[in-house]
Amino acid sequence: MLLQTVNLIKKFDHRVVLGRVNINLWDGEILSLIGPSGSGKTTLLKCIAGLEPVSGGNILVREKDVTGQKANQRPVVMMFQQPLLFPHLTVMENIIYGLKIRGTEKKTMMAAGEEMLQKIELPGYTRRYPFELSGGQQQRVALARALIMKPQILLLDEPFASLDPELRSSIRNWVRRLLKREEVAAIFVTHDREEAMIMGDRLAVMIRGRILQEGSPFEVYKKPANRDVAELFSDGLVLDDRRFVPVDAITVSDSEQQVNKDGFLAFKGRVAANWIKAGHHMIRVEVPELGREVSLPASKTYSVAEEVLLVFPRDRVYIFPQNNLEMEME
Amino acid sequence: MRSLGLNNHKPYLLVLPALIFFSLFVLYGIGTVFAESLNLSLNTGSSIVKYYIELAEKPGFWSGLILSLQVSAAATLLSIIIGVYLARQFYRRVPDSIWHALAWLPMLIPHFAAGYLAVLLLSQSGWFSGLLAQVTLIQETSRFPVLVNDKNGLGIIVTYLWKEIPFVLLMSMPVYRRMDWRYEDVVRTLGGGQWQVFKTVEWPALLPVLVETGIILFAFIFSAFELPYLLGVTYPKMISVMAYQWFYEGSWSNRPLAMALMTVSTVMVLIVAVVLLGLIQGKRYRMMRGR
Repeated sequence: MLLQTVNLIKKFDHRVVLGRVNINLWDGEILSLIGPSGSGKTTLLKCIAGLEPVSGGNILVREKDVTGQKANQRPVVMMFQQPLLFPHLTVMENIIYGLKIRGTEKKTMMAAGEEMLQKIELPGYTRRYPFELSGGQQQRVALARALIMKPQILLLDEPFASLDPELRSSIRNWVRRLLKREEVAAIFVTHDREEAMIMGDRLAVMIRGRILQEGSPFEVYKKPANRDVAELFSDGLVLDDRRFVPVDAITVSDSEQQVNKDGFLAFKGRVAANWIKAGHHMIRVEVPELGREVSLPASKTYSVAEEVLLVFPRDRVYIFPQNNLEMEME
Repeated sequence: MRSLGLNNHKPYLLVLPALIFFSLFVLYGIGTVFAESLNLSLNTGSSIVKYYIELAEKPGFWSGLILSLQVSAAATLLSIIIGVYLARQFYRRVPDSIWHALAWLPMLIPHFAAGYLAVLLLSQSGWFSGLLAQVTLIQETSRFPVLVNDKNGLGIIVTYLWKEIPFVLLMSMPVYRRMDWRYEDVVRTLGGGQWQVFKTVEWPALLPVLVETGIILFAFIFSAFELPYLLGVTYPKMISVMAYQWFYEGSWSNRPLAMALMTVSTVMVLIVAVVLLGLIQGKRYRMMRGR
C-alpha cells in the first residue's frame, strides 16, 4: 500500500475538523475525495502533505511513518485550487522550481522542464510570465511544476474550481490521462459529483470530517451507505434516515391509476423547475410530505407548479446499511 | 459641454499646487545652489568649476566623503536588515498596538535629541560606562569602548539605527500583512524550507519597498548634519558638517565651496536613487508589484 492514514485527527482549537480518518491509496490509483464545502477535505490533504500538523493518528507512506516529517521531506506534492504560480518567475522557472531547490544539475533540469512543457502542450512558453497565460494554462503549468518532482503521491485540491465549466470538463480528461500515463498516484478532491466519478478509480465520501463511505464510484452511487451519502452522491428520493428510492425506480405520473396497484408507493409533488439535459426532459419536483426535492427525467413536458405523482415499486426501496444516528453516536 | 474642458484639465489643476511648491522650493533651491557653486567671474581667467577643483584639493574632503558614504551605507543597510528581521518576528506574534507603540516612540524623538541621548548613554562618561564600572564589569569608565565622537562614526551609526529601524519596521510591516501566505505552502510542498520561503515569497514583495525606504534613508543620512555634528570628530568630518561650517563661517569666502559640496552630495544621492530604482524597474518586479 502506498499511503495509509490511521485514525487521523485534526482539531482547530477544540473544534474537531478530522475525526479518525482512515484512507488508503494504492500505487497508480486515483482516489476521488468528495464532500460538501467545509467537510475537511482540504485539511486532510494539507495534513498528508505536511502543511498542517495533525492532532492525532498516523500517516504512513509505504508503511513508513511520516507523521513527524516536514512538508519538504515528504514524497508528496500538493496542488491547490488556484494555480499560485510565482508571478515574478517565468513559466520555465516556475516549472523547474522544485528541482532547483533539490539541487538538480542545470542541464538535466532544463531538459526535464522542456519535456514537461511538451507534456502540458505549452511548448514555446518558456520565457512567458504567468500573467500572460489563461487560467487553464496557468493550472497546467502548476500541474507541470508538481509532476516534475515525480512525487509518489500527488494531492489535487479542487484544481479546476477556478476554471469555467467548459474548460473544466476538457482539462479534467486531459489531467486524468496525463496522471495515468505518468503512473502517479493521486488524491483528487472535489465537491462536484460528475468530476469525482470521471477522475477517480475509487471514491471516498467525506462529510463533517469523517469518511462515510469508500468504493467504486458506481458502487457508492447505487448503494449509498447512509442518508448523507445518498443526498450528496446519489440521485433519488430520500424517504427518511433509513430508506431511499433510486431515481431510475421512480416514474412521474399525472393520474392516480398506478397508485392503487399493489406493491407501489406514491408521493404527491409539485414541479419546481424544468430543463433539458443531454436530450432528456428533466424536472425538479418538490415533495412537501417529505420536505425534500428530487430531480428526474420526465417522459413529457411539465409546466412549473404543476401537480404530479412520483410512483415507485415497493421492492425498489433501498434500506441504508448504516444508520446516521449510530454514526453520530460513534 | 463646457465642463468637459475643465474635466480634461482637472488632473493638471490638481497637481498644480504640488508642482508650484516643488519648483519654487526644490528646483529653485537646487538651481541657486548650483549657480552659486560656479565661478561666474570669468574675467579673472579662472575656470568656471574653480570651486570644485578647490574642493577636490581641500584637505579632509575625500576622507569626509568616504566617511559619509560609509556611515550612510552602513546605517541604511543595517536598519533595513534589522528592521525586516523584526517585522518578520513581529507580524504574527506581536499585537498591532504593541509594535506600533514600539515603532512610533523613537520616531517621535527628534534626531538632535536622539544624538544628545546617545551622548548621555553611550559616551565614556555616560550612563552605561558608569553602570558597567559600578558593577565592576569594567575597571574604570575610560575602559568603555569609544562609541561617541569616534573616528569611524560608530556612535552616529548606532543612533541612526535607533531612529531608522522603526521606520523600516513601519514600512515593511504592511508588506508582511498583505503577503499571500498560500505561496508559503507552495514552496514547502515543492521541497523548500524557511530560506526558500523568504527568497521566493517574501523578498520579491519586500524589495520594491525596501529599495524606496533605502533611498530615503541614504539620502537623509548622507545629507543630515545634526547627528554627525554632535557625535562626530574634527577629523574626518562628514561632508554635511563640512558644508554647514563653511556656510556659516564668519567669512563668506568658503560659501561657494559649501555650495559645490552640496551640489556634489545632491548628485551622489541622485545617482544612488537612479541606480537602485533602475534595478527594480525590471519586468519581474513590476509584475510582483502590479499583482
